[in-house]
Amino acid sequence: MSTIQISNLHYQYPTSDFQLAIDQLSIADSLVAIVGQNGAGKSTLFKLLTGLVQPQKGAVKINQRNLATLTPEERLRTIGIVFQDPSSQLFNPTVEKEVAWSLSQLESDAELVQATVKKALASVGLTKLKDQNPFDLSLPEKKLLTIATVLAINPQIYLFDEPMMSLDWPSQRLVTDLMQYLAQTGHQVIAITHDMDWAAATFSKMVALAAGNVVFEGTPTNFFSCPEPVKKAGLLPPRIMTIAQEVFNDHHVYLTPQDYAEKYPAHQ
Amino acid sequence: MDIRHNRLQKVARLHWYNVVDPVTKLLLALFLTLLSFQLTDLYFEAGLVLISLILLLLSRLSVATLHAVSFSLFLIATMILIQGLFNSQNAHPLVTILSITFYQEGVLYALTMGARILIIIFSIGFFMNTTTVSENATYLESVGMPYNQVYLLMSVCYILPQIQQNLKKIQFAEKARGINPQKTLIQKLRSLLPIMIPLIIKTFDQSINRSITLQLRGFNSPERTIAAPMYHYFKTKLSHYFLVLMIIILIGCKLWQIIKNFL
Amino acid sequence: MANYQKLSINQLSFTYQHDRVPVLNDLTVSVPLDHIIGIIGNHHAGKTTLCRVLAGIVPHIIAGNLVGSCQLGDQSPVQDWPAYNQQTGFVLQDPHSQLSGLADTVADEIAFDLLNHGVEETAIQQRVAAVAAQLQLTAQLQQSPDSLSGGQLQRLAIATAIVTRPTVLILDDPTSEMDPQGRSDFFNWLKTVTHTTIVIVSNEIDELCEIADELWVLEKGHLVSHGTPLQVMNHLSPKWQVATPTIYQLASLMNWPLATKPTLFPVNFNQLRRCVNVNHSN
Repeated sequence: MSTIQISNLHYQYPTSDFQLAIDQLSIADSLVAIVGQNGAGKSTLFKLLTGLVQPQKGAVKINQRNLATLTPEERLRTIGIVFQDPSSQLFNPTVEKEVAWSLSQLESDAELVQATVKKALASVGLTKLKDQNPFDLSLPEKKLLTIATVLAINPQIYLFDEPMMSLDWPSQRLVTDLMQYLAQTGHQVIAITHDMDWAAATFSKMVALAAGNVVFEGTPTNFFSCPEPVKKAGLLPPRIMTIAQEVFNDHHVYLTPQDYAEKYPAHQ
Repeated sequence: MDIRHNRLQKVARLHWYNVVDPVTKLLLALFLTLLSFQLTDLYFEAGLVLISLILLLLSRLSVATLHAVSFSLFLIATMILIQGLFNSQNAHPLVTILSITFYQEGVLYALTMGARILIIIFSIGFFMNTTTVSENATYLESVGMPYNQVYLLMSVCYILPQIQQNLKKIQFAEKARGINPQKTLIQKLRSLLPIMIPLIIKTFDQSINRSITLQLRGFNSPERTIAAPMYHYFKTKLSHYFLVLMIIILIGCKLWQIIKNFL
Repeated sequence: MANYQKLSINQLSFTYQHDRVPVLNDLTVSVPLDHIIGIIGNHHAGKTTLCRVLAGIVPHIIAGNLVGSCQLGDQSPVQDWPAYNQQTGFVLQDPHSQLSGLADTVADEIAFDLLNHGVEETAIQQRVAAVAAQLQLTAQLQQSPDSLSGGQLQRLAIATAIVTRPTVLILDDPTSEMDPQGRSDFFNWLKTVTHTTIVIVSNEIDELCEIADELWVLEKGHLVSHGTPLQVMNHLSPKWQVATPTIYQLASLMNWPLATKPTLFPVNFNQLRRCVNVNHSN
């Protein structure tokens, strides 16, 4: 498991007043959700975590190494990035070649590349579409394909920007299961999201941003038990909590309906 | 409060180039370009470069123009190098640096061509920096051009920034997914090749979607209120007639020179 | 016989040009006008194409083979398109494509539709201001549309669609880029819209069950289920792989059926409140 250490990070866009400023943030959990309103700084933090954009001040360190000093090969093996918009991430003529593209830059053994690609496509359920042009896929399929391109490299850290967006229900479940599997096999999964129900049900740690600052870090249960940071970040608690509050006047923390059912006897 | 035409804001932002209408600016750019091709005297060319440069400097400079200017300067420098050394008409040595001799004829030729490139870049840059797509659209509509034709014309202008935007996104993803450092020009060009097709598909897709939206939003409806021009322009008709006349004269001169050769 | 108070679709099929497989396959359904209809389904279900049929985009702008009929009140998007289009507002899935690209400010972008309809300048001012206030865009009116965030852009797209006061509003996944608060505000606002037939495609099943009068479930081009959210959610086939609302999940876990219909579980707040009052008083 790797540790991401952010210290005195400062980033400002040349053309806007918005600035991201994070004094100290340490991420060592396997499933981390970064949450916040539109414009809270989630996407900016995402860009800085990719290592492709450099902060004006401070640094992002992974296992004590500054992200900016990694060679492209090291970066590729350390961080896998799944962007929000899949259509600007795909540029190969077939699904299979798309998955092989990054990997064949790192790995010269053609047989190994082919076997890895096959496995990656199978784990997102796209094996049948391997000879299609990525541009003919539906939006959820495109997104699954971008995930397969990262799976093939098997980096330490997986970085997702709004992974649930543009996915339908079956693919949402597939991706969530995949994330949990990755976390169990020693990877670190970081996702930017504004889907609170999903974040509460899936992640072990939450980092909340508001106006370019970290306003909370901790477990989902802790996050939703204090209304202050939730409100400050402009977020809403999981729907099950709203139901409990409005219908039963029950102010306990619940992350999922199952969670409610388990705690129900104790809370009566 | 007038939310659509906030006069206060506009007065604060009004510049001298706002009183010149877009068509005049475009005709001016065309006139300067044609004139530079008509003239052969290097001093006149230099004067024209200066005039177009002043026009550009008096408008707002954009990063894109600076890029275009720096790229054309690079082009001109290579041209001087190649023509100065290898032009077929080279006869009179101009200067010798480290036993490499540059010739007058080639350097002169390259300088003239370079001046013309700069004049085109500067005057088009002036037009691009001082008008917006919406200003051009409203002006053309207000002088009686049917809106669907205005839109067709504008969508051509709109496609370039759109391609640029898409290119930036795809290049970022390519960088994120690859190990190619893309430092030298050759590396950059090579990394461009694979993304050309998705770039075109994506831009094409967006254009189709935009044209669907415009039809849904009723842009070619017969009831459409014709837009009023955004600024009060100075003597538009007069400047158009004058510039068109000058352009016709220039083209006439050129044609006469060609015909004369045959006589 | 035409029914003037209904949205009725009759044996509707559609195949895109150059395609062999129909995207919509023999759809028949009818609902009263001025209802809110939620469309759900997974990818390749035909949701976007159905929106396009209802807006008249197919077959008028995008070519293809349309069989069957589609009628909204006394008009048909297929037969009376120009007149029908005047009364229709459409929000595309991708908000960037919704913009004309010819406006310097958000205010001008919203006014574009009104100019096209020949509305007077003073009325334009009032209506732009009112719509901007409804969708919380007042502070952005003088900004360039390019400077907006994804969520703001989606609200702008909605503003351009409703500023003409359409009687039919078609929304193709209008909240995908909005944050939780923005999404909640949007659905609360949608509930207050009156005298408008609203067709909305969305993955927000919780919100749909709160506001929709009717849900349509599409699967691979077929309309596999339709009815009230209560009926549809209680009779889902696992084959369709459709998400259920949190309230339904909770009620089925806790075994809290509706008091009046003991075979059904509640899908929204009002139904849950009623069944809980009964259960808790036991």
